[in-house]
Amino acid sequence: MKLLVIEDEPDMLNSITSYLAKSGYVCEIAATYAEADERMWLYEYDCILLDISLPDGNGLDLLREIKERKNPAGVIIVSAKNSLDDKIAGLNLGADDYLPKPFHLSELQARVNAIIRRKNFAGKNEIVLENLVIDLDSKTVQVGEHFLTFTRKEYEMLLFFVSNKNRVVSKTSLAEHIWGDHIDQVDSYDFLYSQIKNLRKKLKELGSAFNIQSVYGLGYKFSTL
Amino acid sequence: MKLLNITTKYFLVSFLILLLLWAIAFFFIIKSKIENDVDEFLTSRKVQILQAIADNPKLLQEDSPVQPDYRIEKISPVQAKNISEHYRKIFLTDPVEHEPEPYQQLVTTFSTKTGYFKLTLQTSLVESRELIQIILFTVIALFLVLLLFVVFMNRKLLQKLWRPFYATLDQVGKYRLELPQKIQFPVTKISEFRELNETIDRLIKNNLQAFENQKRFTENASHEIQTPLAIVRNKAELLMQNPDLTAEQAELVQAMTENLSRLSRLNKSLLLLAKIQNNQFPETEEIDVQTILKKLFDDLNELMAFKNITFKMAAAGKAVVNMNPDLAEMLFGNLVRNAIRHNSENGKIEVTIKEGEVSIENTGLPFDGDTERLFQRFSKNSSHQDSYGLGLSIVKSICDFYRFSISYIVEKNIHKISIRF
Repeated sequence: MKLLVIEDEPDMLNSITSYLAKSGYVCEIAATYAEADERMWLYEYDCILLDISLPDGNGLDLLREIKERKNPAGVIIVSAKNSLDDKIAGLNLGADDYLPKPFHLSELQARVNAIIRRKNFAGKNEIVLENLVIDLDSKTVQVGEHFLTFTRKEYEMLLFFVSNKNRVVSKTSLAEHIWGDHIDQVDSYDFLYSQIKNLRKKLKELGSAFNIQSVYGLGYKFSTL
Repeated sequence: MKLLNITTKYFLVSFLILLLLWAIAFFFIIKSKIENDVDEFLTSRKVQILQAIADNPKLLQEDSPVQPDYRIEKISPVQAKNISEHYRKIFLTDPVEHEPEPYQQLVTTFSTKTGYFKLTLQTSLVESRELIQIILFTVIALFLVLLLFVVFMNRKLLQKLWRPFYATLDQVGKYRLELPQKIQFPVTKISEFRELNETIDRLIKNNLQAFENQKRFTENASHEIQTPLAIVRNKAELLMQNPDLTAEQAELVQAMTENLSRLSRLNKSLLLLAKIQNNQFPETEEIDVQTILKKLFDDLNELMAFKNITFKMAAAGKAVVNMNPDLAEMLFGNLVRNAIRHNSENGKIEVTIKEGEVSIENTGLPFDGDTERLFQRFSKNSSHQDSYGLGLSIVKSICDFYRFSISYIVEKNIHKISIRF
């Protein structure tokens, strides 16, 4: 899987690439409009992360070019402006997703995975993690012949964990992913605990090799025991 | 008291006093003038009579015909000495109407060869009294008419003259800094009013400038903060991945992440407030309040279940509002999260929807502060340390923007927010 990260802020760029590299993606970088333009001519990518405000041009113009050239890469717009106009313009121009800054890296990872899964959809659309099989079409989770029903939110949580497997997922990023951006307005994340407990129980019941581990007070990690 | 009434009042009072003094003075002047005339008339009549007597002494004989306006009596020299010439006012009964009528008399003495005589001349004052009365009435009538005219003119004139002022006042009263509207001052020839309009215009422009600057500052500052904030947050997230973290270090990272989240939430809220005030949500669509509230509560049912909150929703009518969908989500989302967040364990939430009105009632801690303050930025209930009080401020901003009226009532442990569209 090859990714192009177009971002002029070096610190931002580093964080993104080092996080995404952990899930085995090859990340190439471009800090300017010109650089990005050149790379897109030369190479093919599965997914492009596009910052709208670049020092030498507007990311939306780059997006327009990507679409004109029928570049098959999925595009996620990353913008610090969080402006609705940008979001609407971007999605209208054919971007696959829009992520306002600041975002959680785990959230970015989940979005990138979702896009790559959609783009590389060939035959069976499923995720296999050791003995755990998630069918993305029928939204079922199984281990061997063993099925269990997951609620919509449990399923979404599981996918989020799968996208960020073997990495620590903070409670905030998990809660925001499932309940939306404003969930942090509601008191504490104590309610998450009971949700995690249920999910954990179901995975254990299925006999999944992967399960959710608590990492100090930081959050959770989806990994083999 | 209105300016118009005050001027009229002062005008009326001073005019009445002036009129009164004038009328009194006029009355006495005219009266004395007429009395003088009467006296002069009597004197000249006396001269005529004396002349006539001197020419024809027979007039003094006893059988001479009685004259209506004078009487001559023979008197002794001693009596003559005691009588000096004088005027006096007497009342004589009118033989026809039997009413006393005023007369002016001149009493004098004269002597001829035949002896001393007393001459009493008189003339009726009825006519002159009537004259005085007529003059007085005419004067009063004239002054009253004048007064009415002046007061009326004054009112009309003032109304006309001050019209630009009231128009300006009306415009300024309706003006709201945060709404996109311009003041149209009335055109006026009066330089003071023109100056007033110019001054107000300048004042508003300065205020608007300051307001714009403040909004832009908030927006720019929030934007500028966004990127470094995003970087730090992501770095902390990377740090979290370090497998060698000790429990102590993990705690530090956790505290950092949590506070970074708070900071970024605060920043997002400020940005949103600035955007609402900058009118950056122009598109609107019809939003069914019941549908959106149901969805929002459904999305958070795990939270309600966690606190064991009973939820009820009653719709007596359909509330449909025309507003921006993102702002609707923000408005109702904040209300919903607020109702859950500030609820107590085993609490209740009751949503009532009527036509053009929605109210959300939730149990919670009693609040004895000023509920108006809850809508202000950074006002918070001390029991919730995490809250930056921007939620209700956003709610208020959105309501203000769409001119919805919002009320917050706390009765014991029941909090009730109602919005009328």
